[in-house]
Amino acid sequence: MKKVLFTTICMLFLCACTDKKAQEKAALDSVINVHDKIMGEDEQLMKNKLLLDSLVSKNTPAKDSAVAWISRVVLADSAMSTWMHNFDPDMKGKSHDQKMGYLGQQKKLIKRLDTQMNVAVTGSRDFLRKNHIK
Amino acid sequence: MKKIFSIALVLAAFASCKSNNGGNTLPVYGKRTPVTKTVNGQTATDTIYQTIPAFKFVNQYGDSISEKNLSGKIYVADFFFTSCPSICPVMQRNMLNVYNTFKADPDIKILSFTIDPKYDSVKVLKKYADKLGISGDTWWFLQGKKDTTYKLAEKNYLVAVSEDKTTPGGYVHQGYFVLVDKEKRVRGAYDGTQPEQVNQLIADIKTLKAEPTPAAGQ
Repeated sequence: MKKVLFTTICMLFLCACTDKKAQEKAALDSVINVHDKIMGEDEQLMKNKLLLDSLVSKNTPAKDSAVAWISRVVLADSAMSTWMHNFDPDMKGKSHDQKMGYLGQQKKLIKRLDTQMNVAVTGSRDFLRKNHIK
Repeated sequence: MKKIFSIALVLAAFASCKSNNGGNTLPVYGKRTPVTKTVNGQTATDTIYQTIPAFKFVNQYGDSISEKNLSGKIYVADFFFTSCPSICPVMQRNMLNVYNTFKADPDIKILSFTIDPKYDSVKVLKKYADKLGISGDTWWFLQGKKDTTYKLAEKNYLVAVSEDKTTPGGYVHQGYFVLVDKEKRVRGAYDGTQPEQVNQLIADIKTLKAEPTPAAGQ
């Protein structure tokens, strides 16, 4: 009877541990997925920046607006770069609750960055289209 | 799922190109321009292939690296950043296999371009290389202007990937290893996260090494 009880307790601990690991992995993956999505957008952002740069060099009437869009593009790109630099995917030395709290906070941050990136990509794209730049 | 399907299609296309070339010659990717010349009254049409243009970056030792440093070399290029939490650690682990296979061969180089130059300084790149156990001049980690790196990637290195219309956009952060021949032409693109693709890359480097140069009239 003691043996059965001991085995049951061990199994419960193991399940709880596995469940915690799975929760942490799912939370980390959901942050990484947004990160990877933004990296694709960042590529488009760089393409738009090159086109904006060429518009500025042509000295057209749209130059000032192009310069303003370049600032927004650089700001979005820089914000993403800073997040990547600060993000700690290893979370060494943190407890389960600390890890979950950290990842939850990072998810909010990166979702905000995603919105910022989207605004910069679509806004600069629309501006370039309006000025017949492809 | 779509990504996997697209990658499979690209790889299938590569495989078919290889077999079209008789099995021992790798395809050449990028734009091709026919040039007609008249020599001794005879008209002949030659093909000029797209090549990697001139560039200037800084490596992990703080040295300036340009296309001149790669003259007559076969090399593999990829795009990464040191704080990348997703595919880069897997890519660089796989690239280590390429490095370990060819590190004694002075004709083979590896170029890893950072797409996060804001934080990937020369010092950071050196630390990253040291952590991977990289020494010498076989594998350079390169830093330059971000938009220049993206332009070079999209317009030149990743032409093999972008030629496939089914591949979704955002190629730079998809982990491709690009094979460039001694004449600066793109000869292959491989999924750097897949060990079997990296093994194919190693085999293709050996094929390129055995290729007579220059491959005139291809």
